[in-house]
Amino acid sequence: MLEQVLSGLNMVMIPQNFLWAAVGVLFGMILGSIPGLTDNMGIVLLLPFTYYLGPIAGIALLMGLTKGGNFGGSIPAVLFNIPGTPQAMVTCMDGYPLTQQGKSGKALKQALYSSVVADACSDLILIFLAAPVALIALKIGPPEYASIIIFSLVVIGVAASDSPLRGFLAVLLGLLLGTVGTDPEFGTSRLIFNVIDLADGFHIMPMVIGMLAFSEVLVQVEKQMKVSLESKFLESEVGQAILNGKGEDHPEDHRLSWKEFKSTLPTIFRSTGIGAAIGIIPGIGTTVGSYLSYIMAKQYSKHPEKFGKGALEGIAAAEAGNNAVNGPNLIPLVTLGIPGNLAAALILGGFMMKGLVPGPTFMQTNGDMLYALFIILLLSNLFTLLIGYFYIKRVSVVTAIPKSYLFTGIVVFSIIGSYVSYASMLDVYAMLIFGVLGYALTKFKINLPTIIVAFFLGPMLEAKFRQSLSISGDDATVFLTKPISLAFLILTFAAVYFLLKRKKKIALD
Amino acid sequence: MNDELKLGSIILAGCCFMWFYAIPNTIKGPMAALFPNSLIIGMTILSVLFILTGIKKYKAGERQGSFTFLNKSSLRSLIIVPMMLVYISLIEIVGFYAITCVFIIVFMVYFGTRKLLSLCLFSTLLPLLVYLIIRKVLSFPFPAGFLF
Repeated sequence: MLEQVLSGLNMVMIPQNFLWAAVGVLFGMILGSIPGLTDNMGIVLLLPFTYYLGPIAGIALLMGLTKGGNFGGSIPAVLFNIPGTPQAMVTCMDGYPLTQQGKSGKALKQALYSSVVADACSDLILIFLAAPVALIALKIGPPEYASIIIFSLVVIGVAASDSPLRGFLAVLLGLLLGTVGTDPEFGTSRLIFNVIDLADGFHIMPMVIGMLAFSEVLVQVEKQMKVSLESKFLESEVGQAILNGKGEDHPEDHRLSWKEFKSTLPTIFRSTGIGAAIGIIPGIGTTVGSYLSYIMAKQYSKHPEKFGKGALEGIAAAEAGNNAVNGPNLIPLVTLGIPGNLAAALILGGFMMKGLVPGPTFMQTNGDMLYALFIILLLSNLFTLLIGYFYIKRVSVVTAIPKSYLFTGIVVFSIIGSYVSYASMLDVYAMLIFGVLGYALTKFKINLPTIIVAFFLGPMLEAKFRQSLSISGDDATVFLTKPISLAFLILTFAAVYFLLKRKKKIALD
Repeated sequence: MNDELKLGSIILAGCCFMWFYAIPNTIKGPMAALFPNSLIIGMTILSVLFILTGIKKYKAGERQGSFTFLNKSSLRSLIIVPMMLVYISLIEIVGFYAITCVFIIVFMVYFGTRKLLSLCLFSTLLPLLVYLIIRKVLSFPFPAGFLF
């Protein structure tokens, strides 16, 4: 193991990797801090280019993007009460009141430090848990694997959508899209309608870019048409903030003293624990981590009355809770090859483009690569801290960029991104079709990231399902007779029950 | 028609197309069709549930959907799609960089930018940046066309 760690360290210690990790953090932070654009869009747009970078540099760029984007989302939450990413929703509750009090700098620093501490702790949890989980994963067979995938898909479907019916529909749509191509067992074509280029199935990049980036442009443009130019609104908010002297007049209000930060440390560590526990379960996501941490912080606080009025503890809980999900969320990916959320699915796409397939044997066959990934995760936290510290001082410039520039840039990069992976114009047309499909599905409130995750997991589920039937002589009860498989199927029902109950409670609240 | 009724009907129609036409004509063998067939059965059940929910909401008074594709803002957004089609189809004829310069201006004007200097600068600098990164750093060629 030590040999693998040293080898991983050796692979990482190249200036180029540091540069790409820093570029990723900065790009993620910029995209995260622009309302409507997310870190996932950053990953989507940059993923094709990682194909041309070395494996470690490519992964460094992706990891940097996720880390930077996670923090970036809290910036507009604090400054304008608009969460840049869904998980930053809870940060609004105490971040924006602090901005109204002229203490936006203090709020942003609290958010930054809490994010970095929780993220680093969650990465350590990933590092220490990955090896034991991988050992267990080596012992599971196709029926257990299939049940774990079903568990993940059902939980992702229910947790990510407002209505469970829509969640299940997204899962089935993603799985169906995954069946296009060639039959994994017999090698015969399936659902390709005589289009030979579809023999390998839909290419990942046009689908992901179309559904997540181009469709988002269509949605945002429509919104803009409805509510005049959103950028003008943001500019006016920024303008007001500057006019009121929130950024300049009282520097002491923007400082976060060590005493203040120290008082939030118990909250940060408690929230890290909550977020990490949630992160291990695929699909539950950062928003739940953030929300639960916030509720717990309020319960344990000496001053619960300050929550919602600008409590530093509130920001600490929200940010630590959502960032702590990230590390453990990668455990199912690196040990089983099952992405726990969209970011993990996109990272899996990045791995696959490099010819690497995460799974139970990944630690044995590519241990050095895995430890290199872990080191990059920790390094990216450092970059988030350094870049974030300077970025929050200049953030108003970025958030005031007119949307016309952003939309045009995304449109151009959507075309470039879908073309560069396979140098095929057909992929560019496919991106356009997926974009329109994504737009239509968004109108029906179907969660697009769920479709993408199901698309990634579909071929694996089918393969394991058919292997299970094959080894059991076409006996479908094999999924119920294997204890681990049965346990996961029971867990699936339990998780659905728990999630639906929780949603009902939140709706009532 | 409310959203659930619309969605349920569309899925049901799609499932019928897949079950009666697409799967029998494009998949050979029962084992190869097993997984897609299972998914279609699942989606059919969901479509029925959507329709039932829709009927329930319809009876409760929710008769209109939350959106339509034919309103002004949706149509103005969807105009981007034919614009993109023209852009993409001209890439191989004219050349990626030349046509990108033109379409950056088209898109920016459509999205609301009116300043001539901004249009000129962005339409020149973005393709230049792409050229430097994609062509020079990553050595990836784009379709050249008769221009560039």
